[in-house]
Amino acid sequence: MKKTENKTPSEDTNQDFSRLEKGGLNYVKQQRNYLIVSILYPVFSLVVQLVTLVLNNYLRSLPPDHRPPEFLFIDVLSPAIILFVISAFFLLNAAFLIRWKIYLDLYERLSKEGSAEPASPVDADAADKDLSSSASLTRLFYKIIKNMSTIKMLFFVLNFFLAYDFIWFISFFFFRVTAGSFPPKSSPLPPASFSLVQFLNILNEISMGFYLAYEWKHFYRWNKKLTLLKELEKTVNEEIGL
Amino acid sequence: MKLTDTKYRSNNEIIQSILESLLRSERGEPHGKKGVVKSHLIKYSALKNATAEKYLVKMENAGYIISHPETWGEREIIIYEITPKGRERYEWFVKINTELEG
Repeated sequence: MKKTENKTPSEDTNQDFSRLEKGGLNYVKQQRNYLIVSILYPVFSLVVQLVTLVLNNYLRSLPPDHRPPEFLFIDVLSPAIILFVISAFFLLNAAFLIRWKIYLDLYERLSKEGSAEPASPVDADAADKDLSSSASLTRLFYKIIKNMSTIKMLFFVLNFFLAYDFIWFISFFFFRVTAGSFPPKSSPLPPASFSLVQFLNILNEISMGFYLAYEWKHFYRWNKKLTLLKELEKTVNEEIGL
Repeated sequence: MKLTDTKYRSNNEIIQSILESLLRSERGEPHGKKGVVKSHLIKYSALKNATAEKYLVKMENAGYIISHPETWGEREIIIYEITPKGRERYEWFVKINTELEG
């Protein structure tokens, strides 16, 4: 016998909100997975840049006789800059992920207990800051929107640095290596070490291409969603008359 | 005066939070009892009294929520309920967030 046939309006309401909440939590977890995937490339790139930096620093420390003739200061500076930028981006994503997880755990705990957390009264003008003291699905969504806005802005900046990194990579590993000045013939460095670093850098650039395609696709869809959300917000504001 | 996107967002965060609090409270009532006492609603929505008052009045005027007085002992309390329009707006908000990829 189907129990659902004799549902009261209250049971309908309960199921409606539970359905919305379940969908909402699935979405929040999807966004958390997005952050985890977004961290994978920066971690790999960090390792590659670090290895490149160590190798180039080593080359720079060689006596002039063993140093490649076309070795430039920028060959040390470039991996260092990218290392710094990627580290900052990675740390920020990781910080968002940790904060997100703490808030989600709090929400799930409170939701299981049956109610949202009653929080201290706050000032509406300071709502952005103070609403974080209470866990709700709405606030989880708005936290995602705020976090994503910051990540989007930083991602655009990151694009410039990655473009610079690509130019340096082409110039260093293809033009000058192909020209024969790297690695120096009289260098005590085994040629296999340089080949490994070169291979890692090629892999890094290919991964960067995939990573950028993934992120651009994500932000393209995100912008479409934000447009719809803005329409809803505008409609609600007009209806409410604020 | 035209509101900025940030202000729209801030207002909507409060409005959707109030609607969510009302829906969530209904879920906790197994015997068909509807509505939330005003003071509880303000507490669950994490707002100051004056701010909540402003939003509740405007939301009621817009048809998102309704209120009615009830006696509780010797006191009179105000009960708030979500309307189909309010429920629709909250569902719209959740669907935009959850059903579109991004």
